[in-house]
Amino acid sequence: MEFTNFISYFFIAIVVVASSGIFLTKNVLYAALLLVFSMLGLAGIYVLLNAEFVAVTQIMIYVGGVLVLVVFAIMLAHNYSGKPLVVENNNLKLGLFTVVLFVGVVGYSISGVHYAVQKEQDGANSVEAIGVQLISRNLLSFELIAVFLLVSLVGAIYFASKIRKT
Amino acid sequence: MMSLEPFLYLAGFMFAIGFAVLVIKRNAIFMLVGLELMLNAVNLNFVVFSKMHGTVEGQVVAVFVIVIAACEVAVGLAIILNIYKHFKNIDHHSINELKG
Repeated sequence: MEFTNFISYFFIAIVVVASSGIFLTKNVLYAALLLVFSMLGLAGIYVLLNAEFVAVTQIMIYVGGVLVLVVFAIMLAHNYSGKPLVVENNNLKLGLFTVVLFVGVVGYSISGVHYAVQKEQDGANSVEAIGVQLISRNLLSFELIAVFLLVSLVGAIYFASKIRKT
Repeated sequence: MMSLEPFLYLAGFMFAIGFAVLVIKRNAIFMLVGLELMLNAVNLNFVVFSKMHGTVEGQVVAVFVIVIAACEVAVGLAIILNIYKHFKNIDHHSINELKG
């Protein structure tokens, strides 16, 4: 039990440090690499929360797909002149004020709620339960999201391929 | 098992950081990274509450959110590439005309 706590706080620390780094850095490439770290930390947290399927999906889609796309876009959408890709800030004071306000309100509301005692997970194999849920209760949203994914990927390819023609 | 509240605080913190990146940085790719952070914070909340209730409903929704995030990134990056081709820049302050 003690060891599980230690691992949880370790992953939480990874995610906190990586996402703060995204905010603090001014280099786009560093932000993409720090996003990898925070996604991997989140995947570890999902495993600790008995959500193995979500963890594997997270690693496959974010680290394998989304991050590759982001790095490609960084390479294609910048002028290279040997300088690092530095980004300016704007709205700094107003943005920070909003964020501090948000953290205060959310932290206060989380600390004010009394949470019920956790129930035990019914059935050890959550992957099987997710499969049953996807095909029975959430079948309509599953099919809709499949069509949505297809349409948006075809649209993205069409958009991106128009660049070459013109 | 430890209490699940630290994960809720973490989700709130990640959402706030994602919002800050989205508002403060002057670069379209940075804005997309901030959006990803916000979506992941929501996902973490779904998984934590699914654990709290002892069902897998929340995990199913989390998988849906991941799929939608993938769609959003693909379409968003295609739009960013088009904007870069037109304006030679992805600073969203320089994108100020509707019909090029």
